[in-house]
Amino acid sequence: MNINLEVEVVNQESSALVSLTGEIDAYTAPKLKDALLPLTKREGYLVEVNLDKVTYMDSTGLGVFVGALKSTKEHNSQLKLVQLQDRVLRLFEITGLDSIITIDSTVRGGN
Amino acid sequence: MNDTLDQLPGGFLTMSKEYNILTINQPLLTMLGYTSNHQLIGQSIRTILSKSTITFFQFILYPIIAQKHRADEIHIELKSNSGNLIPALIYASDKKDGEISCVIVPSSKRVEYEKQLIQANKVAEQRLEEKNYINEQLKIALKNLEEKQEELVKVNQQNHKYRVDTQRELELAKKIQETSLTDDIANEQLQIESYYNASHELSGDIYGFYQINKSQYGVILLDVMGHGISSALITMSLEALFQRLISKGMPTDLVLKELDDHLHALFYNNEDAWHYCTAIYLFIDTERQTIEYINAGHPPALYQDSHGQQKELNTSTPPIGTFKGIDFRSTSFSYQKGSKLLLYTDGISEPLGQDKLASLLKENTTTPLTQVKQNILHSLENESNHYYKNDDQCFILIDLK
Repeated sequence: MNINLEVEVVNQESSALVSLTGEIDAYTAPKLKDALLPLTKREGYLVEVNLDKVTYMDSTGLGVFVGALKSTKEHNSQLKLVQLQDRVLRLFEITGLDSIITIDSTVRGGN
Repeated sequence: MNDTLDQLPGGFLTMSKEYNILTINQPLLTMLGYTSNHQLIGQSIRTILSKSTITFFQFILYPIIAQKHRADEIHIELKSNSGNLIPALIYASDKKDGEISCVIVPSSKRVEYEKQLIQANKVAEQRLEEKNYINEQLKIALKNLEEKQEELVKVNQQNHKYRVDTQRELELAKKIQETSLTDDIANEQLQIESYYNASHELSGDIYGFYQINKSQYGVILLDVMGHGISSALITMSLEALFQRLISKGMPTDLVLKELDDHLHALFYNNEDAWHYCTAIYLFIDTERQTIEYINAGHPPALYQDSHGQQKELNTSTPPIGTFKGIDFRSTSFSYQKGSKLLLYTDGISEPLGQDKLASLLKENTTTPLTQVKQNILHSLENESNHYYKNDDQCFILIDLK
């Protein structure tokens, strides 16, 4: 099992672009959480997460995004997920979280 | 002095018993930097000796010659005409008339070699000392290593004991978790078959099916985020609650709401321990032949009527424990006798795919439920996608008679 996840954060004036590469599971989720949560605590901030290079995600990874979304509600920031691969997008759809988390599925990578 | 002595490769001289030089050959003259033997003949031997050698000559060498009539390979120091000191070896013997003959060989190179030898000896001794020091250090290191190895062995033994103890505890916990699962049901109204397999000893999946009264049943399947001990602990907490709620015949929306509230209360202000849970709850009325359900973020259950027509019981709300204030609304539909239901966690649907599950159900419309279960398990065994081998697996098959 590949347990690597690369997290690249590019901060701008009122937003941050978080690019992820690898797999999000119980082993790598803490790394994502540590990078993502502080960004969502900045009031008015837009946190855009690019999942184009995320090849696998499990329920623990989904939990990180739920936690991040909850944080945006508390801190008046925004979370947006873009370029999800089909396999990852399906996880959001199955759980119904695609209707709650802003997901830009118009530009989407394949598996 | 005859020519033969002048051809010698070393010096030669004779002196009287009063230490005056009587004869001296050319090589010795050259060695001492004199141009003519007249400069030295008749002179005291002291003229060509260093101060230390004069003393040595007087008190040691000459008594030896006087006593033994010869002296071999005695180290002396000559003094040249210009005052330079020349190390040399002297071989001396006396005659009956007291005249002493001396062969003198310069020993500068020998001295140099001796110095080098002494230096080499010193280096060798130094190396030996270093070697001995290193050996001592190695002995100390070896001793330390042996002590560390002993410690490591002890730690390994402790770890082994810890592993054995932990494994024993986990196996006991597994039994407890599996004991909490309800038994399969088979009566004239319905038949329920279940499968439950933890990726580790303990599972994040949990289910329960209860006969509420003579015609009503509650069936619930939950999947707590993650897997392993933490998830299993939460399943046990949820199981205690839903067992009570469902057995009482609590309305479907209230069952989910109570479970949702329970999770929020469990992780109130505890972000690190927070877990969510997908759940699907079915309330089956066999008399009215209706199914009322709520799917909270769980993979869609499959319903198949007696003609093989299928539909998915899709999610209508986010998983429980995610956002406060979720409006849990149930959906109801009527069923026909001979219909089947398949509830599962993502540990089943991810490796097989929902289409495959739908096909398996459709291909086995009239197959006994136990055989359908075996067919699903057989398909799972053939699946080798490594991603999903690490997830808990659980499914429930229901035959509505």
